[in-house]
Parts: sequence; C-alpha cells; structure tokens
Amino acid sequence: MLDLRLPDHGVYCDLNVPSDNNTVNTKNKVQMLISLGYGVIALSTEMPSTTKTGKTKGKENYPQPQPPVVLDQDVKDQLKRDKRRVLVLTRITIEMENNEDAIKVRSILLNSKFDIVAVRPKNDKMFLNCKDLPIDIICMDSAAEKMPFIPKPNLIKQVVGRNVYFEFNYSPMIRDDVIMQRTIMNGLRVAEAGKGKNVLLSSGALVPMELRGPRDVGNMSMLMGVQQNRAIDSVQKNARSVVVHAYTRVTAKSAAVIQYSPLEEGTKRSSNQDLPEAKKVKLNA
Amino acid sequence: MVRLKHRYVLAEVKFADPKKFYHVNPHRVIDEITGIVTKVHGISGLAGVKIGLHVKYLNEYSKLVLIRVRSQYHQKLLSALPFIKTMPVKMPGVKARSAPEGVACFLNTICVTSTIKDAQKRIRTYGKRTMDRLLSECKTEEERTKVCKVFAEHSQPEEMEVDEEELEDEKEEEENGK
Repeated sequence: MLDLRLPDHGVYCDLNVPSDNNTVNTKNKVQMLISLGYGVIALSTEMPSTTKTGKTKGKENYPQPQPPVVLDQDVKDQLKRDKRRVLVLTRITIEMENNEDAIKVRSILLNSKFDIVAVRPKNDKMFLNCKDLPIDIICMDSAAEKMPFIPKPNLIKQVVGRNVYFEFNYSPMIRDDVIMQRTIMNGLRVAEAGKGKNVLLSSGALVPMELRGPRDVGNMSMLMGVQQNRAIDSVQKNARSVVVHAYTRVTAKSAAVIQYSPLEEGTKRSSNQDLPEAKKVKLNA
Repeated sequence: MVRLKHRYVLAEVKFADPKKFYHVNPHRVIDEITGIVTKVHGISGLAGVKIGLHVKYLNEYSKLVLIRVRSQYHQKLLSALPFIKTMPVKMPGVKARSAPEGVACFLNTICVTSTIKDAQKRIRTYGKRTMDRLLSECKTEEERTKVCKVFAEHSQPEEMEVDEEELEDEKEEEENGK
C-alpha cells in the first residue's frame, strides 16, 4: 500500500529529543526509545534568540538539520522480525523575544528543510504574534527562569481550534525539584482553559536514562489536571495530529502520491480493448 | 462488610546495562516508593498509598515487579512512579550493599490489573516474548536448550502469596463476567 511518512493511529510519539554533534549519544537515545515501544521520534536543534547572539545577516547562519542516525544491525533485525516501522523526523525550536525573531520564523517556514517547526515565546507580544503563523507546536518551557508570560484562556481556545498544541518537557522535572513545581503550575493553567485536551508531553532528555515509557508519560500528565481517560492522548493522539499538520503544511491545496504497485504473478495488464465500454479511456470528447 | 478493591501494577526495572545481573530486594523497592510518593504528593498522599502497599512478586532474572495498592489511591502511585531515579542494589559476589545512592535505574509500567490472575497472564505472555526473541538470536541447538532450561527454572508466576480476600475478589469478578 501507500508508503506515506505518516504514523498509524495508536502509535506512541516522542517529539523532542535534543541532538548535538555527539552522534553516539543520539544513537543510544534512539535505541532506548525503540526498546521502550515508541514509533515516532523527532530529533531537534535549538536556535537561540538575537538578544543572546547579536544581529546576524544573511540566511547562511541558520542551523542545518543533523545527518540521519545509523542504527546497529541488531536493532534493525529486531525491527524486521517484529514488522515494526520507526519514523525519525527533524525539528527546530526557535526562541522568540524580538520582532527580528518573527522575521526569522517566517523565512524558516518558507525554507522547509525541517519537518516540524516549534516556537518558544518569551513575552505576551510574541505569543500574540505567533498565534497566526502556521507553526506546529508552542513550547512552554520554564527551564531556568520565572514564568515568562501568563497565557489567557481566550487566546488558548483560539489556538487549540487550529490544532496547535502546548508542549511540556518531562526530563527537566526528573532532574530538578524547582522546575518540577513550575512546569506543573504552567500545565494546570493550560489544562484548565482547554479542559485537558491541549497538552503534549515530550522528553528533553540529555542522557538515555532520563527517558520513560509511554504509559508512564501519560500518567505524568495526570499531575497536570488531565482525566485518566485522556491521559494517554498526550503521547498518542495529540502528537499524531501535530505530525499530520506538519506534513500538510508542506503540501499545496491538494496532494497526489503516485506509486508503482507490483503485479501479482500470472496476471497481465488488460489493454483498452478488453475492457467493457463504460471503462474504456475516451480520448475524443 | 464492604468489599475491598485493589489494583496490581506490573512494572519492569530497567538498568543502564541490560546484561548485568543485580540482586533486587522487595523491601528496598517499598522504601523507594514511599520516598517518591512523599516528595510528589506529600504526607497525606503517602498515608493513603501505604495502607495496602505490598510487593507480591519479584523476579530478579526477568526484573518484573508486581505491586499492590488500594484502588482509591492507585492514581497517586501511578503518577509518582516515573520519578524514581536510583535504587540501592546488591552486586553478586560482594558482601556489602552498593553505595547508599544506589545504581541508576527506572521503572517501566507494563499494565494495571484488578486481579492477580490477569497479572499472571501478562507475565506469561511477556516471558514468551522475551524467550522468542532470545531463541531467534541463538545459532546452535546447544544455546537453545540452555535458554529453555533457564526459563523453566526461574519463571514461576503461580507461586504467589494469595490472601482470602483476593480469592473472593476473583470469584466475584468471574460471576460478574458471566
């Protein structure tokens, strides 16, 4: 059948795995995720805002996606035996503080070298700016600062109606207690306004031992006020709609995928004369 | 008499190196769980979880743990389990226990059931899957017979301590199912 780069329903996704030049570490992380049962992995690169790096001219300074990961032969054989498919995508997270950052976001959206585009706003102004852009994820990371901005319920409802989700990272919570308190506070605020349907959980793991299984991650979203019925949606259903949104952003108004299907043995392709009249190709209108 | 309901959580202990062997003690597992639940849910959360807390089954070779909780408080336990980072563990051939911080590990929950029978079924299917995976990696018949022997000796999920209350639970569940 068709070989689209889209996951099936019911596949567990992890959409934020930081990847650097250290290829051995990323390979170990990807292999640990495969052994835990995940089906979609997105390797992310960071882009800091202009207040830290200073003004840069030209598009040559934009970061490039990392080269693809090469897995061990054992893991590949195991995947073949189980008939499992694992998608590895690329993602970029952009910090937004000025108007220049908004210009960067628009130019990166046009380039389309990355599969998923995520944004981390730091002000109320930037949050209003990114509300209308065709982004996939809004990152709500309160890593080392106080809460950057307080989102209002009306704005959250408008954003969720367009299938854009709010993302939280769970491995900083495991590392530090103060960050755990802040992320749970933010998560409660966001889940209140959207009735618990707009939360996405992903790892920001630096080391393979900070990753957790998919059901554990779903149970962690219960701390943020999500009901037990919908706890697993934060890893399954919401993540899948983000991947589909990213795929449709690259396509035009409609897309056609043409694929050559292999013939079964013993059949011939019927010519135009063998078909009944209603199915014949009529060239003269 | 009001019927007491329980939930059984089946989890796998994952270490950094899957091929090394560690001796895991059920009392240490309970100590870790109580420490984590106080950190996340406070003293009142710990009080509820600690009523019916018991480790029913622990296999050091397959690293499976079966934990029992009262059903009103199983959500508190489930939401606090992912935050476990280390566990004090005994190395084979060494008299003293390892450092008080312990070895880096985490718990991966597999399923949550309401009776011990369902948990035993899942343990059996999990064991079959790992056995199939190991047998497909073997290349000679000697290795295959070795693997089958080890699994037959060390996997005995039926030998669990079952109380009278749990037997009544299972009988009522069967009657309701019919």
